[in-house]
Amino acid sequence: MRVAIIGAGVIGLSTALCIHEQYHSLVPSLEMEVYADRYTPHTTSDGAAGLWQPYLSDHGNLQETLWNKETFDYLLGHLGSPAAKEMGLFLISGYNLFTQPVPEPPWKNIVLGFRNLTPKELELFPGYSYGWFNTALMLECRSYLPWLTNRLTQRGVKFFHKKVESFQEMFAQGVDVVINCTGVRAGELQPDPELQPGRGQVIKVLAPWVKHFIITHDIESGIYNSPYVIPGSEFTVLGGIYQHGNWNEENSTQDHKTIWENCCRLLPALQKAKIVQEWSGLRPARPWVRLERETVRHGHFQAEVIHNYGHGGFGITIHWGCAMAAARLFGSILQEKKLASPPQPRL
Amino acid sequence: MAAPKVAVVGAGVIGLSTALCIAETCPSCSVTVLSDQFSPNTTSDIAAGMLIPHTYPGTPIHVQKQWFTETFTYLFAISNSAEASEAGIHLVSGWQVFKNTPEEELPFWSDVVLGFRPMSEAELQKFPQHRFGQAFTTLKCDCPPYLLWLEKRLKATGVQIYTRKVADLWELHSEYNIVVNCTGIGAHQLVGDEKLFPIRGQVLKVHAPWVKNFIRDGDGLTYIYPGIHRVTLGGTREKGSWSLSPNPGTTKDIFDRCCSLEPSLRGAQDIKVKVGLRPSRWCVRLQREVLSQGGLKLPVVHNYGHGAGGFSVHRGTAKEAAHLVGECIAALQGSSSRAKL
Repeated sequence: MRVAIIGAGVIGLSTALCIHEQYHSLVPSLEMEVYADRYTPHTTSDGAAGLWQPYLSDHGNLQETLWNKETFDYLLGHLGSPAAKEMGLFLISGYNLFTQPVPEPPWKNIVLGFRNLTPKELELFPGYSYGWFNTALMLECRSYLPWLTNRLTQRGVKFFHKKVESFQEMFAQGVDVVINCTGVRAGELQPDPELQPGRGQVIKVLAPWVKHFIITHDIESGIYNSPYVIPGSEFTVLGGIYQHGNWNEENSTQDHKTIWENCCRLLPALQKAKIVQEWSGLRPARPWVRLERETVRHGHFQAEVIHNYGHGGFGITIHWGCAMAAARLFGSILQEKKLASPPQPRL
Repeated sequence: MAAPKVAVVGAGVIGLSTALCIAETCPSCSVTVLSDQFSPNTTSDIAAGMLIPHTYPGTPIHVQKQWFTETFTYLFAISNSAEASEAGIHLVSGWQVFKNTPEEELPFWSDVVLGFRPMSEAELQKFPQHRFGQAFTTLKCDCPPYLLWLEKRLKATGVQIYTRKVADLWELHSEYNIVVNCTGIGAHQLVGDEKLFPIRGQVLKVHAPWVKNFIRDGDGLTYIYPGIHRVTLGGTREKGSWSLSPNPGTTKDIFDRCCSLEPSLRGAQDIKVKVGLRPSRWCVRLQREVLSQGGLKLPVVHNYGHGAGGFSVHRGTAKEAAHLVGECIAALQGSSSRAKL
């Protein structure tokens, strides 16, 4: 049973690990391979600050809220373990700021200590009249992706640096199940008009005195188009750009100016911060995550694809819940192929 | 009296902030700071600089609250300005956890810090040995940056700063009109204050930049305070110990206690061990005294004995000390005009 995962961002690697952990002992013949043209630190995931926080509303998508919760609880459980530091996992508290009262988010009981901001706290943020405080998690992909890669390598999973041109290419090689974790470029393997890039740009600075995340919101501009400051273990990420439909991965001088001016207005002390790096990436935006099976005809055979892409700006936030769901889909494939039962002698 | 000459002895957080307050409230004064130690070698440099008050048994609570509120307000404004990083002032959120529910669930300072509330059940799960906790956001003064920033502000207002060991306050009589004694634990010898005693604190300063929240055990003995570049792990409260040498057994004990609160600290790097002697007293000695010796008089303002709570009340006590200096000046001017009659 050969399984190929296409894509080595947070979605691809975590889905690979989740499936391998659950089914390796049940399916001794399981052979797993990862194919990607970009590996850490060059994936979309690597550019993200790594803050666990879903969008403000799930638009009735309860499934996604459940996957977010599953991810949070899974990560919280790992906090006390020796692996936490290597994973790039730690707790962080911070602020969400608004210019007017907004409904509480679906994740308010998932994070720790969620509450409204007091008037004195709001004095810190002139121009914002309402907000939330809570404790959440950071999962830095520049540590998490190598950690996942190590776990997979230890398990004998093989990695290939290759751009896959089609699902057929995989099946022709003898792959039985393809897990499609190709993120923003999934459309190259199978057209998907729902999938669009949500271009973001960030400035990484040295500002070790910043200990809280600060996310501002401008209901009119939309998510991530308002300044945010997210302190990591080494760098602080300044951002606030979301351009729907823009495929340009080059840094824009105008966007740099927007981010810098807005973040310095939010936190005047940032003016003294040293700029270390600038980065642009394409969030794989979709009205909802595509997480489903697809049976593909390959000659006389039925081959299976499990799609797991379209996580927008909340990939890290939702990744483990989706990996588990993908693993369940994989389990149902095994059931149908009767591979989950002990091997029968050949007659 | 034209340009009263004021000597401030001591250059820890109390000495420097007091000198600054005097310079601010008495522009005509000529202020000089004298100390044998400066940052990074003061007691203040060992402390984490967290704004979490220590309760002095001998000072009325409303006075302590006033000192803390003034200090918090002053630093809050700096933390919100462009100077925050240079001054080493930053906000930090976290938890104070208790193994046994404390008698006083609401400390006097709970409405001064930000967002004070009891911890939720979910938050307490992270601390299985603790049954109760408080979450809040407060300020931290990182040293050396804060002390260096105070020195810079002092020089900008024309205050002179000299390295000098003062063995006896009377040494200063010929050069200065008023002496302000901010010598911390040094006051034990300098003015023979038997009520002042050290409470030895050993701490570890480690590199663990993923620790963004503070954690403090309500017993005051175990704490994790993330600073700009290092996390301070503490600590000890050894009453009466004058030893400044680090104790290796204590180092291991502190590290283990902190790791049980925050397991990820096992990965901390570059552990530096420091020792400081908290200048402890039943109450802060914040008062005027006129020393006299053979017909000579020397007005002194004492501002020492802040124990474990120096940073938390420094600005408040500095302002009161500056006020007392003003009273000394008025008294000197009064007596000099009486002398003219």
